Amino acid sequence: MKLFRMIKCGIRDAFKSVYRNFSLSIASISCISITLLIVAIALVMSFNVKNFSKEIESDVTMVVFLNLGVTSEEISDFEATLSSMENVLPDWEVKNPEERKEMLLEEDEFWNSVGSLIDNEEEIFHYSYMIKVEDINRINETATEIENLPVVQVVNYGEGMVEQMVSTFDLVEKVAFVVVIILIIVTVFLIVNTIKLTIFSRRREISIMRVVGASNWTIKNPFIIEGFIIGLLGSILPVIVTIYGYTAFYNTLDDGHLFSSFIQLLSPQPFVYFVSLVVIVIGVIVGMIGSGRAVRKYLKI
Amino acid sequence: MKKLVELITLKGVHKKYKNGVTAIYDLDLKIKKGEFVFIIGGSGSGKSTLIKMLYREERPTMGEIIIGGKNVAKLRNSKVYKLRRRLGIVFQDYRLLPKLTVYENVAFALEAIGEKSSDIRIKTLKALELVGLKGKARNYPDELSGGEQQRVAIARAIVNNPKLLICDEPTGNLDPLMSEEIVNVLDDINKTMGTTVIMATHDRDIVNKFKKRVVALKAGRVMEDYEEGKYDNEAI
Repeated sequence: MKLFRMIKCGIRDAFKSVYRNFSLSIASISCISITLLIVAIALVMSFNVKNFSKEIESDVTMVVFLNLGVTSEEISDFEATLSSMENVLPDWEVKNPEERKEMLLEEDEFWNSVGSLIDNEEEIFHYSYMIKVEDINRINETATEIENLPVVQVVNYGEGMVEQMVSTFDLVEKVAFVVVIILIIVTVFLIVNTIKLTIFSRRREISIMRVVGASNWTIKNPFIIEGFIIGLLGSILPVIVTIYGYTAFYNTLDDGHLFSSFIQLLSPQPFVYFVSLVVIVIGVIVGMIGSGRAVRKYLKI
Repeated sequence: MKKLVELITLKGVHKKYKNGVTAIYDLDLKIKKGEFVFIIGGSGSGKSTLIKMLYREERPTMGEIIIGGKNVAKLRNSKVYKLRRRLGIVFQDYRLLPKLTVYENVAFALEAIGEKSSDIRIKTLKALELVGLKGKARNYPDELSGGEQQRVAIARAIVNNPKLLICDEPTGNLDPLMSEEIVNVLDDINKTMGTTVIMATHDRDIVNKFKKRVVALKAGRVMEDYEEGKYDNEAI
């Protein structure tokens, strides 16, 4: 009961002092809002990028054409080598030219239409393997390794494009992370200053509290709560923007497809609530770190 | 006659500040439960340091300060509040909160230690009655005279019913008439509630009038210690 009473007093005092140092509180709240807005955007981007790059990665297929006229021993040797490669997923697909030839001869019409699309007509008479890799970042390395095998004539995959996309996303994520860290530091600094002012403006009250025997916890409590409140108030705007902004953006797109059917965004629910929760938690923690630092530095008990 | 037991015992207390100034030299002092003691001495005599050590604002460099069986010299900072809850402290400058009413100022002391609101009301009104300010509960400090403000501070100090009341020059800012009024209040509290009162002062008239125990300090040492003493030594 006593604990609840003390917490109630702390919350009351904290709200009072947010109001009393209104201009500085607003500065801290705005700063934390901007930081959290960027955090929210970074989170939304990074989760979406993770989501569709995973989809892309699972779709990237390497096509390996073997030399013409390979023997069955060479084929089984090649398959054994493939199995031993750690980055190659085991469920590859083999296309046997004999079967294909038969199929194509039977469907004369089809043959005529497809034939014009293929540059090297002979390619369809090669043994070909559709291979998927485990780690998309090492696809280049694996392709070279396969290409160097004597029976392999050519390896095809979306060279460059996939890697470039993945590394661009990676860079965007890293830059966002650095910006967020810098903003968090600035915000903590601003909150330290806000709480410092509160401490100074309540110096007399604090000295009386000490004299009448208030515990250290009781004295520090309102300031920590003030940091908490600043963090909480600062997260309101980013949460609103996240929930309504993302949902509206998603709804303007055709079924969540951005630019092409290739990029599918995450469905807003429950995604926006998850992002909002993370934003609130970060806001509150940053607020409390700021106030905790100020209390430790300026509130000598 | 009731038996008097020691409430405060100082043994070989020595206080040297960080700047090299020694304020108290090897001080021994015993104060019994229910006593009223004037601590007198001029500026730099060490009375403020002694008072501050009693409520553990300062720590002695050497020696023991035992209050109610506990050595407060060894009390950790985080535990000081436990000592202060058993003490009442009155300062020269009243230390009231200007934005709170008289009632709120006194109640503040109880709120700060997490007292129940129903108890706060009863105790606050009782304390205000004891200092004769029940009728001014709704006034703000700046609407009161200096003497009345100091009485509010006394009410705040005794609201939690402490066994010991420490007063650091409580009449320092008051004219002789008001000073007497304040010491009368303290004397009343001492007599009716049995609270031990320690009052640092350099007000000769007050000390001579009330005829209480007088401990005279000079340059950090006890010069005189008289029951029903007087402040007549010009050297102090």
